[in-house]
Amino acid sequence: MRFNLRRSCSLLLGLLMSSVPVLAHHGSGVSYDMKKQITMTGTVTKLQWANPHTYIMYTVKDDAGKVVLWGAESHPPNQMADRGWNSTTLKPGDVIVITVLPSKIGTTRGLLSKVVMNGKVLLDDTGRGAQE
Amino acid sequence: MKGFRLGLLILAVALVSALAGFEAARPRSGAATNEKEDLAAQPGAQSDSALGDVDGWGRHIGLPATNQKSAPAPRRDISGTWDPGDGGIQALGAAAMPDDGKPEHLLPYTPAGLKAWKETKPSNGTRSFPPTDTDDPIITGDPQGFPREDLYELTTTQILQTPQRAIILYEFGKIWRVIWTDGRDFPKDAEPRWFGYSVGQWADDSTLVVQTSGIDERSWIDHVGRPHSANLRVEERFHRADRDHLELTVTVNDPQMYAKPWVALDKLPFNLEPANYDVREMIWAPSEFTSYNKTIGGRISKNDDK
Repeated sequence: MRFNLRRSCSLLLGLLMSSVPVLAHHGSGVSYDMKKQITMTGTVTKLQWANPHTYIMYTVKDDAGKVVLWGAESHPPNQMADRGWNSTTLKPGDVIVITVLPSKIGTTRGLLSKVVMNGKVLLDDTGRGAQE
Repeated sequence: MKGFRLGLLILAVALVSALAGFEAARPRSGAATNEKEDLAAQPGAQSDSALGDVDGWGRHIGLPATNQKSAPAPRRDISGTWDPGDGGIQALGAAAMPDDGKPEHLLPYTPAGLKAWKETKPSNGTRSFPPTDTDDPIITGDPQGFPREDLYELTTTQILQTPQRAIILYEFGKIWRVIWTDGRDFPKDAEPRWFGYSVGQWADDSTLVVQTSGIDERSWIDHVGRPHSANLRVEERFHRADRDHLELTVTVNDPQMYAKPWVALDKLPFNLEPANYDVREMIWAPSEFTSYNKTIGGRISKNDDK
Protein backbone atom coordinates (compact mmCIF):
# COMPACT_ATOMS: atom_id res chain seq x y z
CA MET A 1 0.00 0.00 0.00
CA ARG A 2 1.30 3.41 -0.88
CA PHE A 3 0.62 5.89 1.84
CA ASN A 4 2.05 9.36 1.75
CA LEU A 5 1.95 10.81 5.21
CA ARG A 6 3.28 14.21 4.32
CA ARG A 7 -0.03 15.96 3.96
CA SER A 8 -2.30 14.08 6.34
CA CYS A 9 0.22 13.47 9.06
CA SER A 10 3.25 15.10 10.51
CA LEU A 11 6.28 12.88 10.70
CA LEU A 12 8.81 13.36 13.42
CA LEU A 13 12.15 11.69 12.86
CA GLY A 14 15.15 11.43 15.04
CA LEU A 15 15.99 10.08 18.40
CA LEU A 16 13.32 10.52 21.00
CA MET A 17 13.97 11.33 24.58
CA SER A 18 15.58 8.49 26.49
CA SER A 19 12.20 7.07 27.47
CA VAL A 20 9.42 5.72 25.30
CA PRO A 21 6.34 3.64 25.98
CA VAL A 22 7.17 -0.01 26.54
CA LEU A 23 4.85 -2.98 26.73
CA ALA A 24 5.06 -5.95 29.06
CA HIS A 25 3.60 -8.65 26.87
CA HIS A 26 6.00 -8.15 24.00
CA GLY A 27 9.11 -6.15 23.30
CA SER A 28 8.30 -2.79 21.72
CA GLY A 29 11.54 -2.41 19.77
CA VAL A 30 11.15 -5.69 17.91
CA SER A 31 7.91 -4.53 16.30
CA TYR A 32 7.94 -0.74 16.36
CA ASP A 33 10.32 1.95 15.16
CA MET A 34 11.20 3.55 18.48
CA LYS A 35 13.00 6.44 16.73
CA LYS A 36 10.00 7.68 14.79
CA GLN A 37 6.70 9.26 15.71
CA ILE A 38 3.70 9.88 13.50
CA THR A 39 0.97 12.29 14.48
CA MET A 40 -2.32 12.21 12.63
CA THR A 41 -5.94 13.18 12.97
CA GLY A 42 -8.28 10.21 12.98
CA THR A 43 -11.84 9.13 13.62
CA VAL A 44 -12.31 6.39 16.19
CA THR A 45 -14.03 3.22 15.04
CA LYS A 46 -13.39 1.16 18.17
CA LEU A 47 -11.68 1.13 21.55
CA GLN A 48 -10.84 -2.49 22.35
CA TRP A 49 -10.83 -2.74 26.14
CA ALA A 50 -9.13 -6.11 26.56
CA ASN A 51 -5.96 -7.96 27.49
CA PRO A 52 -3.14 -8.30 26.70
CA HIS A 53 -3.41 -4.73 25.37
CA THR A 54 -6.08 -2.16 24.85
CA TYR A 55 -6.03 -0.75 21.34
CA ILE A 56 -7.68 1.99 19.37
CA MET A 57 -8.89 1.45 15.83
CA TYR A 58 -9.37 4.63 13.84
CA THR A 59 -9.56 5.84 10.26
CA VAL A 60 -7.35 8.41 8.56
CA LYS A 61 -7.71 9.88 5.08
CA ASP A 62 -4.63 9.45 2.89
CA ASP A 63 -3.46 11.87 0.20
CA ALA A 64 -5.85 10.46 -2.37
CA GLY A 65 -8.78 10.88 -0.03
CA LYS A 66 -8.96 7.17 0.59
CA VAL A 67 -9.97 6.16 4.13
CA VAL A 68 -7.28 4.00 5.75
CA LEU A 69 -7.78 1.96 8.92
CA TRP A 70 -5.12 2.34 11.61
CA GLY A 71 -4.65 0.57 14.94
CA ALA A 72 -2.63 1.66 17.97
CA GLU A 73 -1.98 -0.55 20.99
CA SER A 74 -1.36 0.52 24.54
CA HIS A 75 -1.39 -0.74 28.13
CA PRO A 76 -3.73 -3.44 29.47
CA PRO A 77 -7.07 -2.25 30.90
CA ASN A 78 -5.92 -2.16 34.54
CA GLN A 79 -3.06 0.19 33.76
CA MET A 80 -5.27 2.32 31.53
CA ALA A 81 -7.72 2.60 34.45
CA ASP A 82 -4.88 4.00 36.57
CA ARG A 83 -4.54 6.66 33.88
CA GLY A 84 -8.19 7.61 34.18
CA TRP A 85 -9.52 5.59 31.24
CA ASN A 86 -12.44 3.21 30.95
CA SER A 87 -14.04 1.29 28.12
CA THR A 88 -16.08 4.33 27.03
CA THR A 89 -13.35 6.96 27.10
CA LEU A 90 -13.36 6.84 23.30
CA LYS A 91 -16.45 6.10 21.23
CA PRO A 92 -16.96 5.47 17.52
CA GLY A 93 -17.03 8.79 15.72
CA ASP A 94 -14.77 10.63 18.17
CA VAL A 95 -12.15 12.73 16.40
CA ILE A 96 -8.69 12.42 17.93
CA VAL A 97 -5.19 13.68 17.34
CA ILE A 98 -3.08 10.60 17.86
CA THR A 99 0.67 10.03 17.95
CA VAL A 100 2.13 6.57 17.43
CA LEU A 101 5.47 4.85 17.00
CA PRO A 102 4.88 3.05 13.70
CA SER A 103 5.22 -0.61 12.86
CA LYS A 104 8.68 -1.53 11.57
CA ILE A 105 7.25 -3.44 8.64
CA GLY A 106 5.19 -0.54 7.36
CA THR A 107 1.70 -1.66 8.26
CA THR A 108 -0.87 0.81 9.55
CA ARG A 109 -0.29 -0.19 13.13
CA GLY A 110 1.53 1.65 15.88
CA LEU A 111 2.44 1.80 19.54
CA LEU A 112 0.30 4.48 21.14
CA SER A 113 2.25 7.45 22.38
CA LYS A 114 -0.27 10.26 22.81
CA VAL A 115 -4.00 10.93 22.34
CA VAL A 116 -5.66 14.36 22.36
CA MET A 117 -9.39 14.98 21.94
CA ASN A 118 -11.02 18.40 21.91
CA GLY A 119 -7.77 19.90 23.12
CA LYS A 120 -7.61 17.59 26.15
CA VAL A 121 -4.68 15.20 26.53
CA LEU A 122 -6.20 11.79 27.30
CA LEU A 123 -2.93 9.88 27.38
CA ASP A 124 0.68 10.97 27.14
CA ASP A 125 3.28 8.22 27.19
CA THR A 126 5.96 10.17 25.36
CA GLY A 127 7.84 10.75 28.58
CA ARG A 128 7.37 7.36 30.12
CA GLY A 129 9.97 4.66 30.38
CA ALA A 130 8.27 2.17 32.64
CA GLN A 131 8.36 -1.42 31.46
CA GLU A 132 4.70 -2.21 31.36
CA MET B 1 8.20 47.09 40.15
CA LYS B 2 8.15 44.52 37.39
CA GLY B 3 10.78 42.54 39.25
CA PHE B 4 8.78 42.76 42.48
CA ARG B 5 5.65 41.40 40.76
CA LEU B 6 7.66 38.58 39.21
CA GLY B 7 9.07 37.75 42.64
CA LEU B 8 5.56 37.63 44.12
CA LEU B 9 4.43 35.34 41.31
CA ILE B 10 7.34 32.95 41.86
CA LEU B 11 6.63 32.93 45.61
CA ALA B 12 2.95 32.18 44.99
CA VAL B 13 3.79 29.32 42.62
CA ALA B 14 6.26 27.90 45.14
CA LEU B 15 3.66 28.05 47.92
CA VAL B 16 1.00 26.31 45.81
CA SER B 17 3.52 23.63 44.79
CA ALA B 18 4.53 23.06 48.39
CA LEU B 19 0.90 22.70 49.47
CA ALA B 20 0.20 20.34 46.58
CA GLY B 21 3.19 18.25 47.60
CA PHE B 22 1.92 18.15 51.17
CA GLU B 23 -1.48 17.00 49.94
CA ALA B 24 0.04 14.28 47.75
CA ALA B 25 2.12 13.05 50.66
CA ARG B 26 -0.83 12.81 53.00
CA PRO B 27 -1.24 9.30 54.35
CA ARG B 28 -4.21 7.33 53.13
CA SER B 29 -5.08 6.52 56.69
CA GLY B 30 -4.12 7.59 60.15
CA ALA B 31 -5.51 4.48 61.78
CA ALA B 32 -3.12 2.88 64.24
CA THR B 33 -4.66 -0.56 63.93
CA ASN B 34 -3.48 -3.55 61.94
CA GLU B 35 -5.84 -2.75 59.09
CA LYS B 36 -5.92 0.41 57.08
CA GLU B 37 -8.97 2.58 57.09
CA ASP B 38 -11.67 1.73 54.57
CA LEU B 39 -12.04 3.60 51.35
CA ALA B 40 -14.91 6.04 51.12
CA ALA B 41 -18.10 3.98 50.95
CA GLN B 42 -19.50 5.10 47.64
CA PRO B 43 -18.16 4.05 44.25
CA GLY B 44 -16.49 6.83 42.35
CA ALA B 45 -15.06 8.51 45.43
CA GLN B 46 -12.09 10.60 44.34
CA SER B 47 -8.74 10.91 46.02
CA ASP B 48 -6.43 13.88 45.96
CA SER B 49 -4.74 12.64 42.84
CA ALA B 50 -6.24 11.78 39.46
CA LEU B 51 -3.42 9.29 39.00
CA GLY B 52 -2.63 6.28 41.11
CA ASP B 53 -4.43 3.06 41.80
CA VAL B 54 -8.07 2.42 40.94
CA ASP B 55 -9.72 -0.56 42.60
CA GLY B 56 -12.13 -2.99 40.97
CA TRP B 57 -15.10 -0.97 42.17
CA GLY B 58 -13.76 2.03 40.24
CA ARG B 59 -12.66 3.92 43.33
CA HIS B 60 -9.52 6.03 43.14
CA ILE B 61 -7.00 5.22 45.82
CA GLY B 62 -4.44 7.88 45.04
CA LEU B 63 -0.74 7.51 45.43
CA PRO B 64 0.70 5.91 48.57
CA ALA B 65 2.16 8.11 51.25
CA THR B 66 5.93 8.11 51.29
CA ASN B 67 6.77 10.02 54.45
CA GLN B 68 4.25 8.56 56.86
CA LYS B 69 5.50 6.59 59.81
CA SER B 70 3.61 3.35 59.92
CA ALA B 71 2.47 1.34 62.90
CA PRO B 72 4.67 -1.67 63.75
CA ALA B 73 4.12 -4.94 61.93
CA PRO B 74 1.64 -7.21 63.68
CA ARG B 75 3.20 -10.44 64.98
CA ARG B 76 3.38 -13.30 62.45
CA ASP B 77 0.85 -11.73 60.16
CA ILE B 78 1.41 -10.93 56.48
CA SER B 79 -2.28 -10.81 55.61
CA GLY B 80 -3.65 -7.91 53.65
CA THR B 81 -4.08 -6.57 50.15
CA TRP B 82 -0.67 -5.59 48.83
CA ASP B 83 0.28 -3.44 45.86
CA PRO B 84 3.80 -3.67 44.38
CA GLY B 85 3.16 -0.87 41.87
CA ASP B 86 4.92 -1.06 38.53
CA GLY B 87 7.86 -2.91 40.09
CA GLY B 88 6.01 -6.21 39.87
CA ILE B 89 5.38 -6.09 36.12
CA GLN B 90 8.85 -7.38 35.21
CA ALA B 91 8.55 -7.18 31.44
CA LEU B 92 12.26 -8.00 31.03
CA GLY B 93 12.20 -10.94 33.38
CA ALA B 94 12.93 -11.24 37.09
CA ALA B 95 13.28 -7.73 38.51
CA ALA B 96 16.61 -8.35 40.24
CA MET B 97 18.12 -9.98 37.12
CA PRO B 98 16.42 -8.45 34.08
CA ASP B 99 17.41 -9.71 30.64
CA ASP B 100 18.64 -6.28 29.55
CA GLY B 101 22.01 -7.26 28.08
CA LYS B 102 24.06 -6.01 31.00
CA PRO B 103 26.82 -8.50 31.88
CA GLU B 104 25.99 -8.34 35.59
CA HIS B 105 22.51 -9.66 34.77
CA LEU B 106 23.67 -12.75 32.88
CA LEU B 107 22.49 -15.71 34.93
CA PRO B 108 24.97 -18.39 36.07
CA TYR B 109 23.73 -20.90 33.51
CA THR B 110 25.07 -24.40 33.33
CA PRO B 111 25.68 -25.55 29.73
CA ALA B 112 22.33 -27.36 29.86
CA GLY B 113 20.65 -24.23 31.23
CA LEU B 114 22.05 -21.96 28.54
CA LYS B 115 21.02 -24.41 25.84
CA ALA B 116 17.49 -24.68 27.27
CA TRP B 117 17.18 -20.88 27.48
CA LYS B 118 18.28 -20.37 23.90
CA GLU B 119 15.66 -22.82 22.73
CA THR B 120 12.85 -20.65 24.09
CA LYS B 121 11.26 -17.87 22.05
CA PRO B 122 10.24 -15.14 24.49
CA SER B 123 8.38 -12.04 23.37
CA ASN B 124 10.54 -9.71 25.44
CA GLY B 125 14.13 -9.21 26.57
CA THR B 126 17.34 -9.45 24.52
CA ARG B 127 15.93 -12.30 22.43
CA SER B 128 12.51 -10.78 21.71
CA PHE B 129 10.32 -12.48 19.14
CA PRO B 130 7.29 -10.75 17.61
CA PRO B 131 3.91 -11.47 19.22
CA THR B 132 2.87 -14.17 16.78
CA ASP B 133 6.29 -15.88 16.69
CA THR B 134 6.80 -16.48 20.41
CA ASP B 135 6.43 -19.93 21.97
CA ASP B 136 5.63 -18.54 25.40
CA PRO B 137 3.42 -21.28 26.93
CA ILE B 138 1.03 -18.83 28.60
CA ILE B 139 0.04 -17.37 25.22
CA THR B 140 -1.75 -20.57 24.33
CA GLY B 141 -3.38 -20.90 27.72
CA ASP B 142 -0.91 -22.72 29.98
CA PRO B 143 -0.82 -21.36 33.53
CA GLN B 144 2.17 -19.24 34.45
CA GLY B 145 3.06 -21.70 37.19
CA PHE B 146 5.53 -20.96 39.94
CA PRO B 147 7.73 -18.95 40.40
CA ARG B 148 6.63 -17.04 37.28
CA GLU B 149 3.48 -15.94 39.10
CA ASP B 150 5.84 -13.92 41.35
CA LEU B 151 8.04 -12.84 38.43
CA TYR B 152 5.66 -11.57 35.75
CA GLU B 153 2.66 -9.25 36.08
CA LEU B 154 2.81 -9.44 39.85
CA THR B 155 0.16 -6.86 40.60
CA THR B 156 -2.20 -6.39 43.52
CA THR B 157 -1.90 -9.47 45.71
CA GLN B 158 -4.14 -10.59 48.56
CA ILE B 159 -2.78 -12.72 51.37
CA LEU B 160 -5.14 -14.49 53.76
CA GLN B 161 -4.01 -16.45 56.80
CA THR B 162 -5.42 -19.19 58.98
CA PRO B 163 -3.54 -21.05 61.74
CA GLN B 164 -2.65 -23.80 59.25
CA ARG B 165 -1.90 -21.93 56.05
CA ALA B 166 -1.39 -18.73 54.15
CA ILE B 167 -3.35 -18.30 50.93
CA ILE B 168 -2.09 -16.00 48.20
CA LEU B 169 -4.60 -14.62 45.71
CA TYR B 170 -2.94 -13.20 42.60
CA GLU B 171 -4.66 -10.61 40.42
CA PHE B 172 -3.12 -11.78 37.13
CA GLY B 173 -5.13 -14.77 35.99
CA LYS B 174 -7.07 -14.96 39.29
CA ILE B 175 -4.65 -17.62 40.52
CA TRP B 176 -4.30 -18.82 44.10
CA ARG B 177 -1.63 -20.69 46.04
CA VAL B 178 -1.67 -22.38 49.43
CA ILE B 179 1.36 -22.26 51.70
CA TRP B 180 1.10 -24.74 54.53
CA THR B 181 2.42 -23.40 57.83
CA ASP B 182 1.35 -26.36 59.99
CA GLY B 183 4.83 -27.87 60.14
CA ARG B 184 4.42 -30.46 57.40
CA ASP B 185 7.24 -31.51 55.07
CA PHE B 186 7.05 -31.88 51.28
CA PRO B 187 5.09 -34.91 50.10
CA LYS B 188 7.19 -37.93 49.11
CA ASP B 189 7.32 -38.88 45.42
CA ALA B 190 4.88 -36.12 44.61
CA GLU B 191 3.58 -35.62 41.11
CA PRO B 192 4.79 -32.31 39.68
CA ARG B 193 2.27 -29.47 39.78
CA TRP B 194 2.22 -26.11 37.97
CA PHE B 195 2.54 -24.34 41.31
CA GLY B 196 4.42 -27.06 43.13
CA TYR B 197 4.11 -27.72 46.85
CA SER B 198 4.73 -24.89 49.32
CA VAL B 199 5.54 -24.98 53.02
CA GLY B 200 6.32 -22.00 55.22
CA GLN B 201 8.02 -21.30 58.52
CA TRP B 202 8.41 -18.09 60.51
CA ALA B 203 12.07 -17.04 60.62
CA ASP B 204 11.08 -14.33 63.08
CA ASP B 205 7.88 -12.55 64.04
CA SER B 206 7.77 -10.53 60.80
CA THR B 207 9.32 -12.89 58.21
CA LEU B 208 7.67 -15.92 56.66
CA VAL B 209 10.08 -18.10 54.68
CA VAL B 210 8.44 -20.32 52.09
CA GLN B 211 10.03 -23.24 50.26
CA THR B 212 8.47 -24.62 47.09
CA SER B 213 9.38 -27.76 45.15
CA GLY B 214 7.71 -30.31 42.87
CA ILE B 215 7.21 -27.75 40.11
CA ASP B 216 6.14 -28.83 36.63
CA GLU B 217 9.11 -28.23 34.32
CA ARG B 218 6.95 -27.11 31.39
CA SER B 219 6.63 -23.61 32.88
CA TRP B 220 9.12 -20.79 32.44
CA ILE B 221 10.72 -19.04 35.40
CA ASP B 222 9.95 -15.59 34.04
CA HIS B 223 8.79 -13.66 30.98
CA VAL B 224 12.06 -13.95 29.06
CA GLY B 225 12.03 -17.73 28.91
CA ARG B 226 14.47 -18.62 31.66
CA PRO B 227 14.16 -22.41 32.03
CA HIS B 228 14.00 -24.73 35.00
CA SER B 229 14.11 -28.46 35.61
CA ALA B 230 11.94 -30.68 37.79
CA ASN B 231 14.56 -30.20 40.53
CA LEU B 232 13.84 -26.50 40.90
CA ARG B 233 13.49 -25.25 44.45
CA VAL B 234 12.37 -21.72 45.22
CA GLU B 235 12.62 -19.75 48.43
CA GLU B 236 10.36 -16.78 49.14
CA ARG B 237 10.93 -14.46 52.07
CA PHE B 238 7.90 -12.35 52.95
CA HIS B 239 9.12 -9.68 55.34
CA ARG B 240 6.58 -7.28 56.81
CA ALA B 241 8.73 -4.27 57.58
CA ASP B 242 5.85 -2.49 59.34
CA ARG B 243 2.07 -2.50 59.17
CA ASP B 244 1.92 -0.84 55.76
CA HIS B 245 4.94 -2.32 53.99
CA LEU B 246 5.86 -5.81 52.84
CA GLU B 247 9.04 -6.94 51.05
CA LEU B 248 9.40 -10.06 48.94
CA THR B 249 12.69 -11.76 48.15
CA VAL B 250 12.75 -14.76 45.79
CA THR B 251 15.74 -17.05 45.34
CA VAL B 252 15.96 -19.66 42.58
CA ASN B 253 17.94 -22.86 43.10
CA ASP B 254 18.15 -25.35 40.25
CA PRO B 255 21.60 -27.01 39.96
CA GLN B 256 20.67 -28.61 36.66
CA MET B 257 20.12 -25.24 34.97
CA TYR B 258 22.13 -22.80 37.13
CA ALA B 259 25.59 -23.25 38.62
CA LYS B 260 24.52 -21.49 41.81
CA PRO B 261 21.35 -20.06 43.39
CA TRP B 262 20.37 -16.60 42.18
CA VAL B 263 18.15 -13.89 43.58
CA ALA B 264 15.23 -13.13 41.27
CA LEU B 265 13.47 -10.58 43.49
CA ASP B 266 15.38 -8.57 46.05
CA LYS B 267 13.10 -7.06 48.67
CA LEU B 268 10.44 -6.02 46.18
CA PRO B 269 8.34 -3.48 48.14
CA PHE B 270 4.55 -3.65 48.48
CA ASN B 271 2.20 -1.06 49.97
CA LEU B 272 -0.82 -2.09 52.01
CA GLU B 273 -4.14 -1.23 50.40
CA PRO B 274 -7.27 -0.34 52.39
CA ALA B 275 -9.10 -3.32 53.89
CA ASN B 276 -12.11 -2.97 51.58
CA TYR B 277 -10.07 -2.58 48.39
CA ASP B 278 -11.65 -4.59 45.58
CA VAL B 279 -8.99 -6.30 43.47
CA ARG B 280 -9.50 -5.95 39.74
CA GLU B 281 -9.44 -8.65 37.08
CA MET B 282 -6.51 -9.22 34.76
CA ILE B 283 -7.09 -12.31 32.66
CA TRP B 284 -5.55 -13.23 29.33
CA ALA B 285 -8.70 -14.81 27.87
CA PRO B 286 -7.82 -16.89 24.77
CA SER B 287 -10.61 -15.22 22.77
CA GLU B 288 -9.19 -11.78 23.53
CA PHE B 289 -5.69 -12.93 22.67
CA THR B 290 -6.88 -14.33 19.35
CA SER B 291 -8.57 -11.03 18.58
CA TYR B 292 -5.44 -9.08 19.54
CA ASN B 293 -3.18 -11.22 17.34
CA LYS B 294 -5.56 -10.97 14.41
CA THR B 295 -5.86 -7.19 14.61
CA ILE B 296 -2.53 -6.03 16.02
CA GLY B 297 0.04 -8.77 16.79
CA GLY B 298 -0.16 -10.41 13.38
CA ARG B 299 0.13 -7.06 11.64
CA ILE B 300 3.40 -6.06 13.29
CA SER B 301 5.27 -9.33 12.82
CA LYS B 302 7.66 -10.02 9.97
CA ASN B 303 6.44 -12.07 7.02
CA ASP B 304 2.89 -11.03 7.60
CA ASP B 305 0.84 -9.62 4.79
CA LYS B 306 0.69 -5.87 4.95
